[in-house]
Amino acid sequence: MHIHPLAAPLAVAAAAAGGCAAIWAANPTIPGGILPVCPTKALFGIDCPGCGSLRMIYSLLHFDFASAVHYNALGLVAVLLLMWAFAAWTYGRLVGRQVRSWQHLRWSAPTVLALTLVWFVVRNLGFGPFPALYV
Amino acid sequence: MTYQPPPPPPPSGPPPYGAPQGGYPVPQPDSNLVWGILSALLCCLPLGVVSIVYSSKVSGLWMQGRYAEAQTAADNAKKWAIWGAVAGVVGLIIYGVLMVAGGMAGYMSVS
Repeated sequence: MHIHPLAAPLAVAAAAAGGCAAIWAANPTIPGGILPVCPTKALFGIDCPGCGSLRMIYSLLHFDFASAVHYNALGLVAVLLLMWAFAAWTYGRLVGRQVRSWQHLRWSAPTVLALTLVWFVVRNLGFGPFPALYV
Repeated sequence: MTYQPPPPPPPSGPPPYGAPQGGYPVPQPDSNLVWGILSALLCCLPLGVVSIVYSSKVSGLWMQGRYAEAQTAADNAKKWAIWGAVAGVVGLIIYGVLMVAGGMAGYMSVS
């Protein structure tokens, strides 16, 4: 059976669009909405590296980039990198060869790991400029 | 100390891109980093982070010539990303059930 090379990228794009539509409709920036609060925050009261991502995406969908940075700056970077990887993957399927992207670089994975852990710590620090990172 | 057999030669086949001449027999395995990030972001943060930890080992092991271990790390990264996705879906289902149950309980109490 022949599957069109763009079938998988289109499926991913459709899933992402569906998720964005749900976030748009539910508006996570108003507390007490239908979308769940991050379990880490609900259980322990601390910000995990992903906390604020729904509100970040909601802000991004409304072209409110300042709020998007405020809700989860590292998450915003992750979204941009994932879009890059998605574009490279889609192009690679289109031309029929694997296109190298940022995630294949030597230090990508250790850097992602380090940034995630640092982000986890700094947004929960209670002094200096760090409380501004708590959402 | 038991005798450690040498790791099996990496699977042969034409290297798909930019064949590294003379350096490595085959290209480095994909570290599955994107799957780990997606799993951490969308599904289950702890398991996604475990996946990223394995991803970050792949390049270093490969550079040291420990090809089999690099492949194992890449496979582990994929495995933990999948477990994270499963955990995320299960958590979402549990949350949905609790929401519906809570909503019904609230409806019962006011009526």
